[in-house]
Amino acid sequence: MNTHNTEYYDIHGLVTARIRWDHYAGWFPGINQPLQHFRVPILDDTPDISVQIGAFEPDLADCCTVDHKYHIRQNYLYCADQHRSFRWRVEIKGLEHGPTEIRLHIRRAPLRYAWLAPGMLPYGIILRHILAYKLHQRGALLLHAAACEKEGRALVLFGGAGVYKTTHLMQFMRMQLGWHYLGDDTLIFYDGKIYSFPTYPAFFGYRLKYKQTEDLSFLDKLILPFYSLRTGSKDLQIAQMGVPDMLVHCKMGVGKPAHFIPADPADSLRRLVHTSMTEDHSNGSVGVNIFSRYIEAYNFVFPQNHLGRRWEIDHQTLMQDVRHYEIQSSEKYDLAGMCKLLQNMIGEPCLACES
Amino acid sequence: MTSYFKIHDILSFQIIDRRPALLRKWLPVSNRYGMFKTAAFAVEEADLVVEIGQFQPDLQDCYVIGGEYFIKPDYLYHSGDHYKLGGLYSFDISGLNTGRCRLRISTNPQATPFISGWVIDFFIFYLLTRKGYSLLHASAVARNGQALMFAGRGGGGKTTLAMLCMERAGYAFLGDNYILCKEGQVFSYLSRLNLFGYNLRPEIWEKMSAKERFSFRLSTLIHRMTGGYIKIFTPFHPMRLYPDRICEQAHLAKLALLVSRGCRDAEAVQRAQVLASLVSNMKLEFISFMRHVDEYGSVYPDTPFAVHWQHYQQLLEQNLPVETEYFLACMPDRIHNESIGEILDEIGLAEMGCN
Repeated sequence: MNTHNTEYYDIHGLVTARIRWDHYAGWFPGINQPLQHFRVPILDDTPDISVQIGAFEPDLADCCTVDHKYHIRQNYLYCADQHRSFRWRVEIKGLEHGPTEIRLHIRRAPLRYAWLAPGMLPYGIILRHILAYKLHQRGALLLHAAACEKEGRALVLFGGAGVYKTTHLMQFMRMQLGWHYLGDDTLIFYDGKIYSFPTYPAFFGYRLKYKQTEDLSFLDKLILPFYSLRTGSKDLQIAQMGVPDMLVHCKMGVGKPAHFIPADPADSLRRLVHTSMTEDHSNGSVGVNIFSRYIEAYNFVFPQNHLGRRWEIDHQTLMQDVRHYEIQSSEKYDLAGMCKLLQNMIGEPCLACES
Repeated sequence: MTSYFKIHDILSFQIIDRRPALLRKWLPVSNRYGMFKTAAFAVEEADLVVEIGQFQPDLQDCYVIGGEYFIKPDYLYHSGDHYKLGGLYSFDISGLNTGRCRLRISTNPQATPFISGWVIDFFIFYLLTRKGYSLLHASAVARNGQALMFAGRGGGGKTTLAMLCMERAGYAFLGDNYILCKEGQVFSYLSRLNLFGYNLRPEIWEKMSAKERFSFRLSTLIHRMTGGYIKIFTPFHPMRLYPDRICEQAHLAKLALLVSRGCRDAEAVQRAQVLASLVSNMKLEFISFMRHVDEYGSVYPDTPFAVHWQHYQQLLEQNLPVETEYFLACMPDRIHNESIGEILDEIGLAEMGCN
């Protein structure tokens, strides 16, 4: 176990990042380096985002205090925070503009995070939000969607959490029609194209290889770290980018019949942005919307700042000439039935089913 | 057991407590609204009916998001929010579009003290907004029909300033935590003071009974011993301070936004800035509902519940008059009578200064 560790990332030439650990404790790179796919040996310039993980002393001169815990001045936020058994301190310099420096000190975390996945926390709590905002400043959007690519054309699926986006994506990739993986959680939308953003690709690789649907059992979660250590994302062919060809809005409902219908393009794009905003307001790994608290506290002191308005997006310019569909499934995922439905939707037969 | 409440003649609601008698006695929910208590009225007349106790959610035909939100027209069920010490509650609400709501909350004892502040208060806020009234997180006092409002985050000095105005300049009391406002008229919202170390005033201490003083000291001790994890507020009815000086309604003359900062000055600011801060102030107060509203809006955009925050923002624009004087008051870190005198001077209340 090395004690000092620095990693550099270059995300499609749009944003660069550096993560430095004072005491690196992660044994499983597959779950501790969510941006592993973008890793580069070294960066030439100052990174857009630098994250330092370890103890630090905040610089609180001239700060306003909000709610006894958020210390805020222009372009700066410090907070000693806690949620259930998590405790952390975070300092963000360059919150609104300029190179962003994040310092994070995780003082206590639940055992599964502290031992297995310390790298998930910095990404889940803070980094993914800052990354999304940086991309936004460059004219790119980090949106909540899953996609695969074939011959430069991309099929994009979106919808709230747990509506079987990932399972649909797995179905497409199993059809042996030559689809390649772009991402199953977030994607970069830039200049009318979609760029891959595979966070934790080993998770998807494991699901594709061993699982029927995206749901993981407790045993799977135990095996996953070791799978990611041995195989990593080698099983998975990750495409670079694609031009969107089809945008599918996924829904899941109790007792709802499975079907698909063409969707209204304007409404569909609007919902894509709304879903991503909702996802940004939630916080998967810690279970509470931490970053939106920080933003609201910052908005309170500096109303009408850029960060608070980051979701005011002209969604009509996201993509053009795309087929829009809405697909609905019931709460129990019927593999064979859904496979037929998806075949009908894309208008190509499943080669795996036929053989 | 049913209790009946009315907020002026604007909103009526009833709370039906179906929990066992012992829990009702030890962990009361409706105490928070003690000052709105009124004579019994029919269920049909109530804008909001709250039922507390186990309930069976109506999941048929609901869209499911993240396995925790169940949504169909007019209906939202949230299956669980965790809180400290294993606190857990779930709720469902129907009648979101019509504005006559039935809210059912199921809670375990640990979460009971929080549900009124987090869930019931939010729906009261939502329904008041629908009726065209702006609820503000602020304290207010009035004299000669002219109201003075102090808005800000917790620990900003709202209570302290309101108390000082009453003590030194004979102002009457409108409210301490929330204030209602419509078209320049301020309506009292008499909720309990939630006392904690930082907002205790000596004049309140004098009026407290021995039992209350004991519970106050105990909660401070518990807060210290648990390292800030457990924070229990001591309730106190503001009526007891100046029982003859309660004001029902007044015209909004001045609004000061309190931001804590090392400096001590107050300055006139742009109305637009204050309004934007007031929205953030309310969002921070009901931060978990940002997500609830978003999730509902991702299925049914443009419904009254989905556009709640936009509606609130527009209402503030109408209800807070342009003629009102707006101030930004930078509060000192430690609030003393002397330092506050200077701030009051700036706001134009020189007669209350320390000299």
